[in-house]
Amino acid sequence: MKPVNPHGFRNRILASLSTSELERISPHLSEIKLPQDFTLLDGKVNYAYFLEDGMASVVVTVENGSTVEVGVVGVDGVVGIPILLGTGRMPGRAFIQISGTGYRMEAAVIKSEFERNGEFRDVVHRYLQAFLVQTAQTAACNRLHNIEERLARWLLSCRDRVQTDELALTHDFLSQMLGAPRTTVTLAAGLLSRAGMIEYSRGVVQITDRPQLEHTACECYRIVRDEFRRLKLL
Amino acid sequence: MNATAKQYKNRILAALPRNELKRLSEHLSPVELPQSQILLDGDATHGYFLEDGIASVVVTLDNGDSVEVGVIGHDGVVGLPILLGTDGAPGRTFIQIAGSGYRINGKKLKEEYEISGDFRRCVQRYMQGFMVQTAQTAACNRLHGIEERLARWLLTCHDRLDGDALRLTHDFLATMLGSPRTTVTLAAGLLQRAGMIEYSRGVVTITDRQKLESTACECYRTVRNEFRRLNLL
Repeated sequence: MKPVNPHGFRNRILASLSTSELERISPHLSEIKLPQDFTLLDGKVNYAYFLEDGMASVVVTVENGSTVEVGVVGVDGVVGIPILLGTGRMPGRAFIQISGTGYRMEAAVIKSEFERNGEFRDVVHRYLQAFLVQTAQTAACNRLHNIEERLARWLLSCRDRVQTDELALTHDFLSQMLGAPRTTVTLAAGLLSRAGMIEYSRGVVQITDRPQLEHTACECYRIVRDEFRRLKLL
Repeated sequence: MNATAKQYKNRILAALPRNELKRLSEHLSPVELPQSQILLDGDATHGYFLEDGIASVVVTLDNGDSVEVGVIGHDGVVGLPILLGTDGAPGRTFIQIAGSGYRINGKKLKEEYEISGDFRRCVQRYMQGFMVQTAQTAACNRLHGIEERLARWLLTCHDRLDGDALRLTHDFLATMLGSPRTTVTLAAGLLQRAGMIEYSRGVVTITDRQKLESTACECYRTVRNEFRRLNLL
């Protein structure tokens, strides 16, 4: 087990803890590389993950095989809600969308940490709310907003959570996440690209005009981001 | 109130051991909950345990369109932002189908959550249930059509109510499902002609539950099974 980064954490939950709490928790954090497609949760989950870098997608898959992304998690939170809430498992899957690194904690340890009436529980509670707000807003967004504004929202949400300007994503991935046919996504991405907001080349998207992209995104981006900021997770 | 003799329909209250319930019940005020009453709107000062009736959790967009993202009945508690220590949340929760229940001061609700292990565990199960509901709805709203969504919604309410009659209007339904009123009317007409429901004078009565279940998208079953597993339904 590698020692924990002595220079502090990028993960917002870990970064918010006092020295004494961190002293207690950090022996239980194992550093882990998180490659693209790595599954963190699939119904069941054995560990909690705190991302330092990279981003995970939380998806729901329906019977005909279609998937829709219902949330994203990066440095802003923790993956492993069924452990925290003591329920054993949860429908859905969380996997790494953009590769990175993070820390892994065993289920029993994080559960007992959460049970204590302390800072850790308080900050995780804030994260549970933020995640709920994210999925609730996405439920509305997925009903009423169109592909360009949803794509813009998604790219911004992703950029807020990763440490890099270059987002390694394929149109296929985006099509699955947004629950739209690939051709539709390609058209929408082309629009954003021609308007100068993004550059897309060889599977990498770069945001080139952030203000314009924010303007194009539906309000769902701002509402969720503001809530995460209010809760000090972004 | 003699809490120990009382039987609660609310699944969280019903699951509590006697001594915890006795303490909690000192802070519960019985309330009638008429249609349209707002329970949470930005700020959250009180929590509610429904015994009967349905609350809708709604997100309203800048252009005024609303979409329902969750439904709460006797399966849970209204006031998760209080329990999560955040004082409020975007969105609004209001009574969709009139009923009754108990109201509790927000501070007392939070205190109880902090000190009572059983209550906390019940509420945490509900937190997951609610999360699964909104997550499934996020997928459903993207992928499924109006008839299957309408069928899902009717069944979801039916599971949380006594009896087969739901008092609501097409307008309400249109808002909740985020579809134009005409689309909802057409879909409801289809369900009615197929004998699954009867709609008359603002009341939808479920007349063929099995057929309605086979019309609903799988999202109904996924969420219902999770709520059953978590002992909330």
